[in-house]
Amino acid sequence: MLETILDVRGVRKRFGGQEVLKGIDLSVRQGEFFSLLGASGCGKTTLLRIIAGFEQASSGAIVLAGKDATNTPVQGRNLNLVFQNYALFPHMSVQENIAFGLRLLRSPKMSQSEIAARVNEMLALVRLEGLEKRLPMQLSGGQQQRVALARALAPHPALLLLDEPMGALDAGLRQEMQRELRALQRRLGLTFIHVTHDQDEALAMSDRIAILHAGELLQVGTPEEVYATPASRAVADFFPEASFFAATCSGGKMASCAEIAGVLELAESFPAGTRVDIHARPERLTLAGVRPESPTAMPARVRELSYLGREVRYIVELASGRTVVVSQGARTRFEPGDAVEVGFATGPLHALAAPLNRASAHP
Amino acid sequence: MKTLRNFIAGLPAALWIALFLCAPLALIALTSFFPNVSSQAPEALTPTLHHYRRALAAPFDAVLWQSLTLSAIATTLCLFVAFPVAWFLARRPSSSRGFWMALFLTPFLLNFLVRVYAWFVLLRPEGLIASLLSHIGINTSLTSSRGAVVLGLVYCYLPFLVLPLFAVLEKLDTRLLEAARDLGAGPIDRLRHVVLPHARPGIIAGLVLVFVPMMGEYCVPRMLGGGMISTLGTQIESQFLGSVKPNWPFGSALSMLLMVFVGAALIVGMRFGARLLEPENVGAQVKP
Repeated sequence: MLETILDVRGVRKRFGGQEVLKGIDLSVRQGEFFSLLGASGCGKTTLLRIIAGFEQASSGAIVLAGKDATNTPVQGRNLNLVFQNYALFPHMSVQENIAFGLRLLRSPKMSQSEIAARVNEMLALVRLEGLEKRLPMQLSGGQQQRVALARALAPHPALLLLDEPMGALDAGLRQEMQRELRALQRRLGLTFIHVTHDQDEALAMSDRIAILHAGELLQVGTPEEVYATPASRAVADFFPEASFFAATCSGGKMASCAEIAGVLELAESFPAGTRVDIHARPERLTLAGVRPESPTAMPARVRELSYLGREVRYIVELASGRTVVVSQGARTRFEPGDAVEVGFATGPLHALAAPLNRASAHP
Repeated sequence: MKTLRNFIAGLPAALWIALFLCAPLALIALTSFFPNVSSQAPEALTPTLHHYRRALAAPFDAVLWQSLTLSAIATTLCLFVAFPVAWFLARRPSSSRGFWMALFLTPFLLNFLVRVYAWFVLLRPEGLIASLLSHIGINTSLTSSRGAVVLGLVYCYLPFLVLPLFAVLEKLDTRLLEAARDLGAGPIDRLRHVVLPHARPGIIAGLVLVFVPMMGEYCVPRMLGGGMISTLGTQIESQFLGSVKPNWPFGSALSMLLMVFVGAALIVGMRFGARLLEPENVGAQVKP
């Protein structure tokens, strides 16, 4: 069992009359790349600011490395934050920016030569050698981000917080920085807590993801868990293009679906008679030409398609009139208007107990 | 063609400056080199440095020194008062900023003389403050002192320092303060390493705006100094407008000296102040 470095216990936050965090409980393990994922306004940045100490929780506790830090000032917490727009000191050179936190260290106090050595070490770490005399405004966005990273890492914090660090970068650079950041985190063995609204970014970088929605924590899990087996409809909806099929359990892991003939196998068992929603990502659905008597297939018609290189994404209309998204390899091609059959890829299916007030998937 | 058009466009401004700045200045400069006698006298046509010699010798050297020290003290105090005020105004949310700004600026819509006179009423021996003080056993004269003059100068010139400071502090990105805090900087470190380097242009502009007119100020020392505090401003005024023995050439010489002193003080002050506020000195380069 890995050591817990951060415990968030029942944290609530109220701004005026509005509750932006409604009791958050989560713990982050030592050496983990942990993402807080949510749409803007879900409270993820507020939670990060409470962890950093810039905001006080209305109730609840923050425990850092086993010690209650709820009332510890920002300066007293052994963590650093990489700001969304980097917040580099504009009148200081790259070197001075990185040295800023080091000069303020009290115990142990660093000597001038130790500081210089650490600054060089950090410059090498983020590959900015040769730019140490530049001012922030003389750097590109990617370079500024590296300076912000080096500045936050220089005092060797136990925990690094990153507030939408890729937000200001363009797509190509963003992917490169994602890989680099992840590699850096692995190499240093440091705990990173990363706030983002970008699902792909969270999936690509994280060991675990916490999904926040409207001030509530919906699920914490590995990228695979939250993507393939979401705990709730809300989490499933968080990653776009999921389809749902109403079904009724017939005991054990078997279920029958009104839209498909035959019996379907689920990943988990539900009591007989339970109404469930089968959750299928585009890549869990298959598309085939019309064949006579396919046991588990739904007749459908292709409405639109988009060619994405590695895959083709089809929007198909089922007999019931609703549309689902299917992702297929680019080898077999269907055209808009083609009659097709939609089926499930082999393997047990992920199902969620249907809410009591029936969702739209149930007729 | 283009140069001609530029020439014509610049002509009104050039004429204005020539007529209302250069010509009067030249006239004052010229006057300062001639004796104070009626133009019919023959010696009136012989240039002399007499007025400058007189202005730089006792007792007028003390007047020059007094103007310089009073202005320097008042400017410094003004900065210490203006900075917190500007910080307060700049940190208000934009919804209430207008209200606070109006609250601060409204008194300054009043006529300058009225405001100085109000201070005189408050400070005079039978005034509110003095009588309150005498109730608790302190009998002191508040007007006719250098302190009263400094107070009046600080009060009157405060907006000229607050407004440029407000303009720069308003643009300070608060995330920089948070970043500094995150890296372990306490309030004093944040002020020195983040706020002051950012506010530098506003501080310099404000100090100049305040110091220059203070050097020539005659109304405040006259009204709050009770005729006891003599400055360059009051001297120049009485040489030109005084009922007893006006001396225009001597007043002109004092005016020229005032210009030289203000210019010199500005150069010295800017050099010194700029170095003091230089990023290397304010920034993170503090030796252990």
